[in-house]
Amino acid sequence: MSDGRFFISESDLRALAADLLGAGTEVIAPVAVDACASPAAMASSACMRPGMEPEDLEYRALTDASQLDLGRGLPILSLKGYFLPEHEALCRWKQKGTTIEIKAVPTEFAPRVVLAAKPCDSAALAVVDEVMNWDYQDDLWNGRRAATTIINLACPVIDESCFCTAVGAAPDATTGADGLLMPVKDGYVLEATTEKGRALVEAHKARLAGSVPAETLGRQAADERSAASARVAGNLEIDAGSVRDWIDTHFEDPLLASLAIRCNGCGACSSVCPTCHCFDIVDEEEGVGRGTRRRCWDTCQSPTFTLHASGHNPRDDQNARYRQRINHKFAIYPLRFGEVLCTGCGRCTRVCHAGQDLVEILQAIDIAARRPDEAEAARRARTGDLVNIYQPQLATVTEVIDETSDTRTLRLEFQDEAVRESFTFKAGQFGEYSVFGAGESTFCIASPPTRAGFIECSFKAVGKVTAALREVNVGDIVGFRGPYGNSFPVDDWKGKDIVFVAGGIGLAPVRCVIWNVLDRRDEFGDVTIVYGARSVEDLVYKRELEEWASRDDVRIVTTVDPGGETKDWTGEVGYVTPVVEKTAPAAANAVAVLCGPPIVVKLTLPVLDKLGFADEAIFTTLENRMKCGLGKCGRCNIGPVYVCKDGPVFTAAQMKALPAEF
Amino acid sequence: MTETATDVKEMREIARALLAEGDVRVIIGWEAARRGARPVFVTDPAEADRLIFDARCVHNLVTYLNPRRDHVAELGKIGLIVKGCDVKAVAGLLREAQLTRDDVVLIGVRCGGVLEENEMPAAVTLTRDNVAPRCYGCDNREPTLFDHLVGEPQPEPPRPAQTIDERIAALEDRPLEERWAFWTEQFSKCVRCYACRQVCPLCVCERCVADKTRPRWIEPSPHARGNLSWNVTRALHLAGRCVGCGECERFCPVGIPLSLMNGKLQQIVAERYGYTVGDDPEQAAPIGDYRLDDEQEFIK
Repeated sequence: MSDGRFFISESDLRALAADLLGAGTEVIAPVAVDACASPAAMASSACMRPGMEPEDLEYRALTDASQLDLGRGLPILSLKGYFLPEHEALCRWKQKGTTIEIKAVPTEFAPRVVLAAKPCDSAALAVVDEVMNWDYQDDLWNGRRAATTIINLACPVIDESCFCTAVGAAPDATTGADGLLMPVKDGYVLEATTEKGRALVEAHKARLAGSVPAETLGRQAADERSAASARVAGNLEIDAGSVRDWIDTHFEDPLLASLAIRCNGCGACSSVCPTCHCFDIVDEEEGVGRGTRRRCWDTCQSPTFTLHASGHNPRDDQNARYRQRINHKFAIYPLRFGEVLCTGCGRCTRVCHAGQDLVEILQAIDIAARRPDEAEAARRARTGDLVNIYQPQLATVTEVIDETSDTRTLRLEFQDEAVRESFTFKAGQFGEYSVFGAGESTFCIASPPTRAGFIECSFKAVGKVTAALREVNVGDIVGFRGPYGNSFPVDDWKGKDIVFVAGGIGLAPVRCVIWNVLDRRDEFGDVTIVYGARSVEDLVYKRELEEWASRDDVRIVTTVDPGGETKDWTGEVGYVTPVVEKTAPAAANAVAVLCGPPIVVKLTLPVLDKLGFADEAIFTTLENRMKCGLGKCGRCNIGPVYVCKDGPVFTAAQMKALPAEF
Repeated sequence: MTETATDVKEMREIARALLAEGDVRVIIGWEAARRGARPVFVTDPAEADRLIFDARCVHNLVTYLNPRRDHVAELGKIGLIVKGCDVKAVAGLLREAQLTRDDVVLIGVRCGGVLEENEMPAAVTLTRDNVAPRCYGCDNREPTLFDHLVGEPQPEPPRPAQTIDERIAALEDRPLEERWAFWTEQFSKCVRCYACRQVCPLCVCERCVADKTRPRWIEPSPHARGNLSWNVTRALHLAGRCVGCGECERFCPVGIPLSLMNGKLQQIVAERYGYTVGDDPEQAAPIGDYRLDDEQEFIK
């Protein structure tokens, strides 16, 4: 058949296996075994209850083609043992006096065929290929891989512990294999996917029928394939990249650090795992002066795996050992080799009668990585740990800076050490700052997230709360709730030019982004800052304006409104908008961050548009009146948008879609 | 198993009170999880309602009292829910001075037998085909070693299709060569994951003989020699100590029928030393108890 697909009946498939066996080729395939496979008489009397059918499957070398089991279970052990045997000789030695003779072991192997392999098992071989070849090439592994032709049998998905699609595999994948058998009515569609697979097909053409309409089979097979994928996707869906990054950055997180309380610390999970490949190397004496050096399966779950001769053990309890297993599979391996060290076969979950459930664990990590709010809600529901979202943290004022005659910056440090250490935020987020007795007020966090240990806010004393904040001194205590809202997508701007446009106190949120960008200067292109105020006196962050001006990797233009200049003013004179137009920053591969009084924003948008900035590339932050910051008090809505939750950062494109009520 | 809500309620109330009053820091019992019943560690009184008890509560949780369990001991004083069979292992730990009675608060549950497997969405009625064979002839459905006891007296569990003793007898009927072939085949499946050791409540050695390297008593490779040494040594170390909870066999990923070997050894201990394991920690066990009338032909 021209498309490389052939129909093969079940009897022909067995005949093909018989042909291979007849030619002296080893054929490995699932074989049904009773729970106590043994001489038949023994099995029926001592191990098997009467009437019980053998239910376990194992990959075995067939002695007869009739043993080939195309029933769809998952063999107890994966295919791994045929490539990394449970134990194998690395070399043998013989010593006589001072003479030692080393006997090498072969690294070339006779050709063999695996029939009806599970896709999760062949995929695992391809994953482990990476570590076996990333520097030194393991020819014991490679030799067996090269000698083996693997034909998968598409899997109908076994149970609720399967999750291959969550880790990039699939029930009909041929990764690591040379072909696929797809069950259809009365037989199988056989498709070779590699040269080795095609050679097998070519050699056994006589058993393959070419007369069955390919299209019909294709469709039937395709329907079954997509149904199986949907079934397995229903068990677990995660974003493996987010899981990897979360694990990599949350080593001490309670979720990772106390995973193993019910774990017995046996190595059953790693024994049955198709990708666990860690081993031990031991010398076994087999008589006086002779023996074999072997490698045998080992497991990170055993205390002796990492135990030093001194007695020290870097992973000295089961929680640490279990974390290592998760870390190795879902962070370390993908970071080193680009692939998850797991193909979602679910064996570890099924084999653990203590209830360690990888599906549940990955789900929890995925939620922590992608939906932290949900993880927190689940934690609180579980522990009954209710928190009053309106209760502020206390913070000490450690520095007071007068920016202008009416604008002040306060630097704050949280009193609670745990909060001080764990507090993080993103550029553009805001908080509720309070003076007890006066109330709360909303400002952005003006310091950058790249500088930990403190936060800063800048404000103009215009109302009751800001007037009270104006009165606080170093050492005084204020309240803070936050961080709230979304943020500037700084990570998406890597490699781009950035143009900052700010007017007056509008520099506060922009300053946070500027420092965030300058602290990671290498990651971005040209940085241009256009900043204006009514008068020289009204320019905020004067020291920083000077610092930015003195850098040769920042272009800064400062301006004051006509009449606001002083005698020694060397900057521009004019409104921000025309100065932006005159500065004419390049718009190609650039984003603009714009913040200032509404009039500045309104007038500057068309200028940016004229300069070629797309609406999607212009970011601003809105300052609607807020009280709660939590999306509840109902004050900050613009149409259906809650500025406190959906903002405060919006693109010009998003703003244009909103009702004109800001 | 005729689980009644009152039993479970009573159990939860006791657990809640023990945690709230600070008598224990953690209650170890069973919960209903995605794949069936499994061990749960409750540290907050508000979470006591997670506790369940039904025929799926197969696990012998005494394994978590094992002195090797550093990470469990770190939680603080333990309140443990135990069936009559489980509490025999507590008695074993007490007898061997691995535990003192004040270390643990025991909540005993009256039990009418458990299922062979815990992995099912809900408890089902026990039948000859699903009952754990070890429940047959249970002599401790109502534990005598406890601090609190919950539940009503339970009926005898059904007789399994084949009892462990019947299986042992069937095996013993075979000639030596066949028995050897049988065990050779069984041990050939062993992958040396040591699940049997790890889950055993009475495998208490700080450094197992299988992990010792100077000298290497037991070869770590899962070949015929290594596997025979390991499986036979493990069984012998449990002779007269094994409580027959069957956790080793249940956790074995490759299905080695360890209960047959353990059961045979306990039969020999009963015959020769008149000892059957119970839940009285004061009852002297053959290991650690010398009697002049012990059979000791091996030192003649």
